[in-house]
Amino acid sequence: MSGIFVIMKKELRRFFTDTRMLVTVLLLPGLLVYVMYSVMGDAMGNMFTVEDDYVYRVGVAGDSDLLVYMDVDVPVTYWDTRTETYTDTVDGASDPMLLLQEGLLDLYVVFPENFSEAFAGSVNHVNPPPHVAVYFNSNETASQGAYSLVTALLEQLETHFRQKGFTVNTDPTLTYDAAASEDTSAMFFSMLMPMFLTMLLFTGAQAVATESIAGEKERGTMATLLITPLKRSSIAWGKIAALTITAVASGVVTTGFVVASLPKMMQGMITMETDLYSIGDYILLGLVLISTAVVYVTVISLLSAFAKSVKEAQALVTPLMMVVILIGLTSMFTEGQTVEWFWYLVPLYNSVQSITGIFAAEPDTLGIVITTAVNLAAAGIGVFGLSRMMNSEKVMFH
Amino acid sequence: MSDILIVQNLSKSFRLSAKQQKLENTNEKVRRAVRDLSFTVKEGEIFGLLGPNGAGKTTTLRMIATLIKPDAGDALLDGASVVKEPEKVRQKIGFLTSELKLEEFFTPDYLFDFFSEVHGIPKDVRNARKKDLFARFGIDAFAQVKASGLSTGMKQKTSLAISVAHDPSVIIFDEPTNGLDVITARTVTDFLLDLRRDGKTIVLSTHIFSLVEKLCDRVGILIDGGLTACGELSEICGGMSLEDRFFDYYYAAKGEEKR
Ligand SMILES: Nc1ncnc2c1ncn2[C@@H]1O[C@H](COP(=O)(O)OP(=O)(O)OP(=O)(O)O)[C@@H](O)[C@H]1O
Ligand SMILES: [Mg+2]
Repeated sequence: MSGIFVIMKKELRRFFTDTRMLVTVLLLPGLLVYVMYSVMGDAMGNMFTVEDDYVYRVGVAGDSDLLVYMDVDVPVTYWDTRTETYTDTVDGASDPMLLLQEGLLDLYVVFPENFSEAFAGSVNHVNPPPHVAVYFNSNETASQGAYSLVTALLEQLETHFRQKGFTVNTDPTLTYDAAASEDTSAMFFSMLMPMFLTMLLFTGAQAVATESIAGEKERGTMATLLITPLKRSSIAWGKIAALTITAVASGVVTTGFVVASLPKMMQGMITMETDLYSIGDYILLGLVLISTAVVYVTVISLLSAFAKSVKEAQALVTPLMMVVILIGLTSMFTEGQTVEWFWYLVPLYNSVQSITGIFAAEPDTLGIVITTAVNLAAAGIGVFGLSRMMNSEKVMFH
Repeated sequence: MSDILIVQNLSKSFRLSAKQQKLENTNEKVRRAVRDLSFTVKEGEIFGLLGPNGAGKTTTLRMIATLIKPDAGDALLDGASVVKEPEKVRQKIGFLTSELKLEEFFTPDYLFDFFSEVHGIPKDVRNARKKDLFARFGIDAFAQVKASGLSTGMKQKTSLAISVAHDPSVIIFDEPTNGLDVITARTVTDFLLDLRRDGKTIVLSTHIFSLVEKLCDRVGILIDGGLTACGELSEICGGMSLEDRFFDYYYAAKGEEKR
């Protein structure tokens, strides 16, 4: 037992006092994700939303008495502050379609001649309703914004004057969508987090485990360890335990960065709710993460023990990495976790299911217990194999 | 004096890979590196395995140090079998070869502590030994320098200090002076003589005649994995120089093989 701790202490010291290693494994991936998401978020944000204080440039032609009708029930102030109307610019030679294409105008509204009378006549069934043409450019976000705004206003106006007796969803102070933003956030997290967590956990595990097993073999320091009276199983357990701690630390820190950068990525598209999860959820998550990391670390260590060098080990591990990412991706296409308990018997997949459940705020406690037990048992078998490999001169000294 | 190491009919073959066959220009599939090797080492002596490149010296020492397993035969080290009780053997020996490396990231100070802890040495004993050994090898000034920043000689001296951190009764040393400058080599040979004075047993391998003449009480001449002569240095030499006697044995062995 003490042998395990001696090895563990050494391994942890190796990692946590090595600034280069800390930066590359702990800090850099997270930072990279943060920067990437911020940039992506900004780009996407610009694509899908317009600034709050943006003023739409709306060209109006024909009988524009429309604005007279506007001080009735519709939010005229909103219209006034959000748009700037141009009546002269477009009455000239320049083609309004061209102005829209070049982005000089966001919207071009054409009212028919004598719109007011025609409108009043149509309300009283004297003549058919006049037609208003609203030209826009669907390639421009601002144009789309202006289009929704104006058509909404026109519809409200139309409804109002037809006096249908009731209106639908017109009170701007009310929320009509029943989906609580907590639910949206939880669903969002439950789709994304399994992939992020498993992938980043794996990346961390790969960085340290290939180094610790194949690296020590390659550099001849493993042999130095093997001629000491330490039991092979102590070396194996000590290394796996330390590597698991390191991988979890790396995975959690990196995921922290990811979560911190999510609002940047999703700016405007979704409101992030914090306080979604209880202490119990986090404890379950901890169990899943540790038991998942131990599986990753063990499998990577076994592959590394076969390899002659860190490079070779990384090449051997890459296909496994693909598998982990693919399994992580499954959570993106399914909503919530599986209900069948036997799925939790499958390592790698069980982690994704458990994490999905936790982030959907509906953790399957039995499933998570099964996951933890299965993963620890799998790791135990793996560590036994690793000890055997350390005893094999064919594996250790090619 | 009693025999502290008894080597009994040790044999070891290696399967040669296609690449190795090409490299060594041979079509044999199996290399018999050590053949039915037997000898004994007495407590408190320095025993030398003398042989040319590829004779099987390293392979023999690795088997005795439990790094690899013999195909046949056994070796008893202070009564412990290298085949059946490797962990017991590991407690009693210090093994040093250039293939065993120190982790470059750590300092001599930490590495000494680590290997002492591995052997379960109490802290106070460890610190006293560390002080002593580091002073003797001049490691003091470099004790807090990462191994990656040490010179080859300083690394070798650190390895030497660490290999005896647990005060082993038998020290196995493959090519002790290989790659060292004359000053460092002298430090090493002096240390080996001191160890013998302290009653330790040393088994070393070399192809350098002068080293055997300087250090060894007894010598075994290893050619093509087999022992062609073994005995007191004076017996082996019989009044001639070791070098001349070695070539007598060498040609005799090679001649026999051709016949
Ligand atoms: N792991 C191995 N795989 C294949 N062949 C090996 C292996 N180890 C040693 N040999 C072969 O066994 C023979 C003995 O090698 P060994 O290293 O024991 O010789 P040595 O006496 O130490 O030589 P040197 O003076 O070059 O160190 C050599 O022919 C070598 O090529
Ligand atoms: Mg050799």
